[in-house]
Amino acid sequence: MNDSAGSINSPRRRVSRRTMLFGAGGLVIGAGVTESANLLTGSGSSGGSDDSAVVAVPSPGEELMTEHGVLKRILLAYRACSDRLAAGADVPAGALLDGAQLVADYVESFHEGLEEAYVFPRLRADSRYAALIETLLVQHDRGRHLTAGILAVAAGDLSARAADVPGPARSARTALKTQLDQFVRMYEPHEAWEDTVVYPALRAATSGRVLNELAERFADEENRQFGDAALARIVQRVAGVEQQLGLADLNTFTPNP
Amino acid sequence: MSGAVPALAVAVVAAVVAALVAVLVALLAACGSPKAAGPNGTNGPAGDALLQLPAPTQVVVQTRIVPGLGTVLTDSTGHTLYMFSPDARSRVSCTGSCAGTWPPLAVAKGSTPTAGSGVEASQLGTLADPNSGADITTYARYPLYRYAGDVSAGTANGQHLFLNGGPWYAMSPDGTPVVAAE
Repeated sequence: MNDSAGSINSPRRRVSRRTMLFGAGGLVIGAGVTESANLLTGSGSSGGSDDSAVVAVPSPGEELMTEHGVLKRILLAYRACSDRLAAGADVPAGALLDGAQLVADYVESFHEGLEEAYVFPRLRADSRYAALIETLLVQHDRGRHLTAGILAVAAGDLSARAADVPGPARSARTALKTQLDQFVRMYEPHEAWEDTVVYPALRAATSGRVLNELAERFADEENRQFGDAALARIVQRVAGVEQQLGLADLNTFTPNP
Repeated sequence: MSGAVPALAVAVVAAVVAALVAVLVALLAACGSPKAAGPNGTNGPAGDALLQLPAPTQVVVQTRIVPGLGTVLTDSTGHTLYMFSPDARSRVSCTGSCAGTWPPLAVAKGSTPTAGSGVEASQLGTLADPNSGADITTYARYPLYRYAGDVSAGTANGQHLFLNGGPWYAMSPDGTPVVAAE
């Protein structure tokens, strides 16, 4: 839905982050403080973390890759759920449901919507990318249907007890494992291709002015749909999923020497 | 001491001037911004330039049988047309990124969509489309959209997807959502 309060639909005029940067730039120039100018451009030697008013807007590619990071962490959770299903163990339904709902809301409605609205149309007419874009669109659709299936099954009995008794619950566990595996197998290369081919192609094919406008739009839409500090709150939800699945400690992924 | 006072005064004046310049620059930037939000979060009556949506002068709504669904409305290329439940009461609630996944069946301002075989002309209409800046074709007062996941004609992959805050259904020729199958 696109008509929430405080949205970019609001008739009142918004001061964009780029406008704030522009204004801050004027302050810097007026005061002749070159160190602050360095903070604006991300250069200089001060570290630049003490001026909270000066925040660079992520480029469209950076924003989309950050969202891919969220998806990667959910893929890890999906793989852990699949392993539990294969082992006949309990699957924490809350973790799976929240992970799948994040995929539906943040990845499939929002992130993929950005790609379908602002990225793919800019590349589809280029014969070098037309077939790839079509494949990515088909995969978005397949992912949405897999997610619908995962959400439907995840609401049922995923206990280890269900794995022992022939019947609908055991069949559901088997079907769920297949859906999770298919989702992970499809999205790992999917996001890798987007990161290494599609986003660089967008950058090459788009003027700096439009890239800046896209960056603003992506940030606006994220705030409109998920509120302020959207990424932090989304990552917090992902962390909650990881906590339930025993994946919260990054150290556990480090191999022993 | 006597030399320090003028220096301090100059610094204060410089700071005040800098602040005024900053405020002025910010105001000018806001006034001249091409991204000033208009109705529905777009660039005003001209539509959302970042979306690059075409609005042809000729739009024909047709019907087609889709396996598993029966007869549904399609555009002139045979792509299934969908309605979005939150659009009830003749509104266009799918804007921005949503309009990428569900591109509106836009038609140029002043043009009238045409009914193909099996389509009731009296059900066709238009609404202002904040995405294209033109109009969006409506049927039974619901705006019509395609689905980005229908990469080929004759499919209805968007049927009964819950996306962008609501369920999506193919539109039947009688002006009701197709809900019989997925």
